[in-house]
Amino acid sequence: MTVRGVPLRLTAVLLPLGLGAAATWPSAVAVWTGGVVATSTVATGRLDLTLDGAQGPTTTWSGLTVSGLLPTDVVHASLTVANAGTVPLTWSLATTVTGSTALAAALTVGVREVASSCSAATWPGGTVLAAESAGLTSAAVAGRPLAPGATAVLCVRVTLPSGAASSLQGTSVTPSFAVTATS
Amino acid sequence: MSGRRRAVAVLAAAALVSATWSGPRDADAAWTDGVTTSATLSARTVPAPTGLWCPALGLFSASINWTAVPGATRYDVYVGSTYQGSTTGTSYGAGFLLSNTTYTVVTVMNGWPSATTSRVTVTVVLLLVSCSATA
Repeated sequence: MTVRGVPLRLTAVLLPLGLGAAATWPSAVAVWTGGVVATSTVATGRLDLTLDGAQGPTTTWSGLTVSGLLPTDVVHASLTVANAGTVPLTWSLATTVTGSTALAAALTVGVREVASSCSAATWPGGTVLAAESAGLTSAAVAGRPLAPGATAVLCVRVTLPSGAASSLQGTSVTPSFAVTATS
Repeated sequence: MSGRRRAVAVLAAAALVSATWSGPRDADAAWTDGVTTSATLSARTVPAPTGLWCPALGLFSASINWTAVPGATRYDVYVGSTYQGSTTGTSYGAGFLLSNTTYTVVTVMNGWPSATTSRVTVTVVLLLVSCSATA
């Protein structure tokens, strides 16, 4: 038996081949893509605190270094806190002492923020940051903001009060004023 | 390991991971910087007067002089521990002397007396007064 002249047996073989070929014929798929590239610049800030222009970590405050103190003597000295960095900071002040603890306790100290530097003879009006109190370690200031490039001029007043004990003669004390900044 | 046991092990591992891993956390970074500045404050030691002498001697009396101490507020004069008087100058008249007497002169600055003192001994011998400085 034949189908259009092709033997049936051969047709049975050829026909599935044709259908299979038609079933696996690849199709074309088009995929579009698109994109945007964004660029930016990332830079880090800089936290930088200075005291009287000095980077530290330690400096000497010559304006407050005094000898020959007697009862009723008063010392004024200025200190400039500056934000030399590029980020806002918050600064604080804490005081520790070495040497004569008796002299440290007898001296009174106060801190003001003033418009400009103070002289040895005058304590200008300004913002009271630490009220005058007995004991050098009472000089403490917390949480003062300072913008980049800004400064805070401090005037510190130290007094040996009238009636201070005569046993303090010849003693000395070294106060250390630590100013810390956080971003 | 059987398939069931393998499945149990996988589930147990997953439970352990989920129990210990709390997931990503926000990181708070704060920079700090600091500078410490130090000073030295010293109290004075008040010096005693020096150069005590008696420029004028009389019957039963003597004048006691000494060299000025810069910054002195006053000078206190004692006989022993008994206060005799004070002066802002540099001389003191010791009168009514009847026997050997030792005068002590102390410098005072803003209420602080000198710890070491200068002494002068005024001696009366047969109505005549002599004077000598002692350490």
